[in-house]
Amino acid sequence: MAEKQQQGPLICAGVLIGAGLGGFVDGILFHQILQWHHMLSTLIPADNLVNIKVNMFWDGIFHAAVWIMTAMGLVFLWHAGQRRDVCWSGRTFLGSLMAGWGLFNIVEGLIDHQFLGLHHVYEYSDNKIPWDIGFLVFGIVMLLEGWSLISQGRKDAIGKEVKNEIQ
Amino acid sequence: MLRWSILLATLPKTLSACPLCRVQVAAGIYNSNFSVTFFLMLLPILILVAIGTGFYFTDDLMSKVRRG
Repeated sequence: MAEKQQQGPLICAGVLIGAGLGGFVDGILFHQILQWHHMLSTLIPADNLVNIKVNMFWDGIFHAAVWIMTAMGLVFLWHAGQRRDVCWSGRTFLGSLMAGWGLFNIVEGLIDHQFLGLHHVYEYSDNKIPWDIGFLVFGIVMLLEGWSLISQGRKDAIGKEVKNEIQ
Repeated sequence: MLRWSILLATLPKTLSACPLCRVQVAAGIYNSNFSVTFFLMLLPILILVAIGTGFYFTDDLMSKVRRG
């Protein structure tokens, strides 16, 4: 009897790496290049050198945690690649990366922007809500698109099960 | 070798960059809220790691649920 093909380990790796890459986009694009916000920029406004440096420290802590999450994803990807019962599906992996990025935006957006109010996406606006909503909507779209690809990837797993059964 | 020696000799100055505001920056970071802020920084990442890692076990859990 053919081994049942699993998606879980590859989804796990993809979600962690995708969330990590999403975190790096946030950090590199919004914190550093555009400088729209920093980790504590609502509580400690980045309007003088000392405050910017304090924010920079917390940005660093956040990005170090994102780096560890990405590294964990790579370890899971390595283990998934060595398992014969894990279907090596491009659709599953790409979908997981997208879902991971979407999850990052949703979790970070809800916790840091909405519940804790540590910072907002665009600090230099009187009305910060549209930017925060846009960030969340982007996350939801990525999550749904990713989930759709993962569902399509299930066909790859079933196809491999059938192929193994024939062999 | 000489270049490395010069680099090492100048390193302490580099490490204490911006000596004027260094004390204020350290006070802004290492205050009584440090532990709480540290936890809040990591909270979204901890949740994401928990969700992501959970997927590793979904197939096994689902098959156990199906078997009853």
